[in-house]
Amino acid sequence: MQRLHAYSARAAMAMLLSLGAVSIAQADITTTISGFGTVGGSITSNSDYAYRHDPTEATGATNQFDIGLESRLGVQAVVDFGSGISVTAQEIARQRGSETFSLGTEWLYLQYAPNSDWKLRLGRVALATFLMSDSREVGYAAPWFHAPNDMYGSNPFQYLDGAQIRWHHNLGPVGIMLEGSLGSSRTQYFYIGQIINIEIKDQSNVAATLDYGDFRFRVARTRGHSPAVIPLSPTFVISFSLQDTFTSVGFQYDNGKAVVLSEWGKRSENNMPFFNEPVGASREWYVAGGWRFGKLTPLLTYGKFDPDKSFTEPAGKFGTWSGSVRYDVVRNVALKAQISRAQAGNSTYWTTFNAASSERINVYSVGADFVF
Amino acid sequence: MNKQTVAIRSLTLAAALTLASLADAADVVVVMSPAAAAVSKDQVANVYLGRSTDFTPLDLPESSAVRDAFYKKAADRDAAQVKAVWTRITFTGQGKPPKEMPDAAAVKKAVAADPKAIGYIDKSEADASVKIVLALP
Repeated sequence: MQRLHAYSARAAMAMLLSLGAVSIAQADITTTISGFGTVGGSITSNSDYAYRHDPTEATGATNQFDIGLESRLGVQAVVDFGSGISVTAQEIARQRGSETFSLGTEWLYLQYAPNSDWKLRLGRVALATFLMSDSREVGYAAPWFHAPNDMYGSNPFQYLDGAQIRWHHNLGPVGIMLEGSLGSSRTQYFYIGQIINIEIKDQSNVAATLDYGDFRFRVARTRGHSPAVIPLSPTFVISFSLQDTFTSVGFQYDNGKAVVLSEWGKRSENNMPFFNEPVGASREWYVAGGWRFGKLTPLLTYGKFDPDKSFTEPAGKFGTWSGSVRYDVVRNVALKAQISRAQAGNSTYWTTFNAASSERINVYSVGADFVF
Repeated sequence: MNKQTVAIRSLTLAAALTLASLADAADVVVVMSPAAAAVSKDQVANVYLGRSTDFTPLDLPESSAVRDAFYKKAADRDAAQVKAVWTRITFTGQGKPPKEMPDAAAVKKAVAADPKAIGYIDKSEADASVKIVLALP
């Protein structure tokens, strides 16, 4: 017993000494913690279709006000070890699948930035499919309350576990960013009454962004290659090798008064055996334009989701009108309201859609976006 | 001189002082180290909106009227818009907002010590320790 005590004392002493060493080293380590969030909800004009703001959500808002759907809280920590080495983590609590609120790691990566041009990242990084992919959860950074589902609901993958390389350089007035990512990604996708877990073993993304004054142009291609298993009945499944390509082009103009955003995307996949058609194929785009009147920014958006004939849905053409307003009430808080008029056949808007119906349903949303 | 005249005079004086301080706050200069060359308004806007990493930008506190005047003149944006821009940059892991200095003296000191650093101060605060690379009257 006596010896044990001696050991404990020695261990404690060693621990104190090592703690001392850590705190000395911490002199050059800086930790920055910041956060963002949204509190808000939606209600629709129809009880038959449940609106979701993200394809990973299994439940949605109907003609009863739903507060969980749009609300989320994110915290980001950046630990800078000096010499260009840092670790970034982003945790978000939000609705996922059928769980009301759950915590998830959006990003967790080690970054090495040898100079201001290069960034090498290892770990979980944002999968930059869209213009706003890496800030899609940060409502405060966006002019709308929720991004057009026609575009942003068409790809449920948000992050990638692997490696990412970024190069940014200013050539006179032009800023150029090239980005490449490689790894695996997974997501939960809710499709006609069931939660489908998808894992893409081999996912890649390349993107080029050009900034010129108030203009931004972006092109990106996201490719997935993975073995896929589609259950047709409890005893019969189709196994095949899935190849999925998502190409997107984005444009942004913001001069402080006028704001214009537009994106175009196309999904193409190889054909499944037996059915001789892809699991999913579509074209989508949107155009949004707004004007700032002091603290008030109204924005009008038209989105289009055109699925091609595929295993998961018939061909269709769906247009969505959205009107939103942002009011910068105090520093760090923006109040927003949005009305979207989407069609019942548009699978990007509803947990269960009706491809044959062209009925229009209104989605009314209000909320507050904040940063801290 | 009766009491009323005194009151009116002091009111006029107060109004004049208020006007003078408003005019001062509106006269912003962009400063760098004494050896720096002049920069354009676009260059300054690009650095302060996170589009360019040519210089290391420094901010005054959020409560500063000079800060609001600077962003209005250099980038035609108000405080909330600038916050939204940096929110996007911060939460996309692309960078962090300009370092916030407590006052003009701290800005001058930091700028004088680092040839890449760039700051803005009220024109009346400018002295020989720094060079005015752009005036925003």
